[in-house]
Amino acid sequence: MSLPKRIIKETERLVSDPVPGINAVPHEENLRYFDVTVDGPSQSPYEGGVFKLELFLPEEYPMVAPKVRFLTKIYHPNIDKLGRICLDVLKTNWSPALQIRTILLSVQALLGAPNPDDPLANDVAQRWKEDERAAIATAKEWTQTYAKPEPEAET
Amino acid sequence: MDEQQHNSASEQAVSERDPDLRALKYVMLDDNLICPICRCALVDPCYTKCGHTFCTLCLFKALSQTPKCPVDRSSLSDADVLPPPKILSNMVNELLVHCSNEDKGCKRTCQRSLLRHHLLESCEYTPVPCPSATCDQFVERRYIDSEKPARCLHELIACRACDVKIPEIEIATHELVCSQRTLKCPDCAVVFTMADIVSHTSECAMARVPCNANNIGCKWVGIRAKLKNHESECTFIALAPVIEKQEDRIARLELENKSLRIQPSLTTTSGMVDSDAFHIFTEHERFRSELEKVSEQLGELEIRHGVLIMNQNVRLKEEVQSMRNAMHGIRHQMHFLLMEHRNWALQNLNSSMITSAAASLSSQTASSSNNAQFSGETSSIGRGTRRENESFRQDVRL
Repeated sequence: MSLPKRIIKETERLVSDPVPGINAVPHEENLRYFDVTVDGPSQSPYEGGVFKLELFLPEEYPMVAPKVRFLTKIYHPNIDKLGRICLDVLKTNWSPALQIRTILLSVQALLGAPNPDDPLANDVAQRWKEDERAAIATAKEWTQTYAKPEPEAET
Repeated sequence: MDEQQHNSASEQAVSERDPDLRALKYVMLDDNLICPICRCALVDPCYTKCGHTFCTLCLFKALSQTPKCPVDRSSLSDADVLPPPKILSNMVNELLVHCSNEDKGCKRTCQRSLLRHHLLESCEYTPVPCPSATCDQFVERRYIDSEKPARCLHELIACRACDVKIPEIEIATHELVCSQRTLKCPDCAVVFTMADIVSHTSECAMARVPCNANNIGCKWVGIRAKLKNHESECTFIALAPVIEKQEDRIARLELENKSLRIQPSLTTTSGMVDSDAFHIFTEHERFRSELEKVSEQLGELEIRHGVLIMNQNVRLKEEVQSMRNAMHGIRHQMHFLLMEHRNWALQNLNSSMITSAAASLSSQTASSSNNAQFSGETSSIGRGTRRENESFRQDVRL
């Protein structure tokens, strides 16, 4: 099965015109599988962190949404222990007019705006509602512990 | 095996006939003509009631998954998909594309709607059936010579150098790169094979080479065998390491100088002011480069505008000229008609004069009143033509 023209075009554009704070590189042996890093948005508990994700384009893409999962541990009410993400555009609100870059931007925006009323990680959401300050502190701590940028990214 | 090969060749030929419009290279592509779903130039576009445009195939595929507009998510059924405005179909059909045989060597660009015809009828690189009736393979059109009798271009011919059998149409390209092909060195007349070309040219003792210090001024050029001899007494070679070191140092200093120049001489003031100044300085640089970019674009725009106006002017001038020509023709016709009319009037007048003369002979008493009547007639005819003439001239002026 050859790679659809759209995927080739999207990949070319991700490389030639990258989104600031987002980096997506396809695997050499499987061009439908991307290694992604997303910078934590500024003025969020995730600021300063670099989060690794995996992104996979299913056979039916763009008619179905890409599969996206966090690989880096993160303390967030809409992201569970396995890294699965609760985000409407990845599920019911997917549209074939969306792209890899727009989806990753949505994921980055989700880090900036956690939504504990539509939780995936129930314990985190509960804590977020009861004691937001403490929850944010934990999120910051986890960012420091697990999402440290690699040395070469600093220079 | 042969059959399989033939199948793939014929498949290729079929695909040439119906080019994949999404795989084409476009000369220029407006973002507005890109389908939001396949991200390629619109193919067979359609239009939704909410005002968005897609390839028909892409949209129906999307609607079969979710009956919503992929762009604004308003609900959409198959009945809400409308044919595109004529102008849109025309715009996508007239997009300029490179021929899909570009990688084989075709340099042609044409309107997208004409590409199929080009591939089918004229492209020199389209595979067509081999002219031989017995051969079922394909050759590119450029290999077929319609002047010569049809013959198969796939017959195996032995390469003159390596004896491997190669189909006729590929033999020329093979012989160029055949590793067994022998070449004669132009310098030392040694004969070697293609495979050894690199090793020989870098070793040939009779090849003319420059001195290794030619970049710092040594003008010596001679055969490789004498190079060692020369270098042992060349003064430039002795200096080379020193000069190299100096140049390296200069480059390093220049780099340092540059970075120092970027930071203006505010190092003596406090760090706060320093960083502010630096910030302002970089902003200034950024604005300057942006200004340059904008003025460049402005210039380009002006030129384009000028060309546009010129084009319009030329068209209008042409129109005025053709109008003038038409007018000229009409004036000639009018003139001709007037002359006719006048001739006719004069004839009329003459004949009536003759009859009146006869009448005056018969009754001399009525002659004076009759004459007055005729002169009145002629003058009224003259006035009429003049008036017509004038009104026509006014028309022309308008």
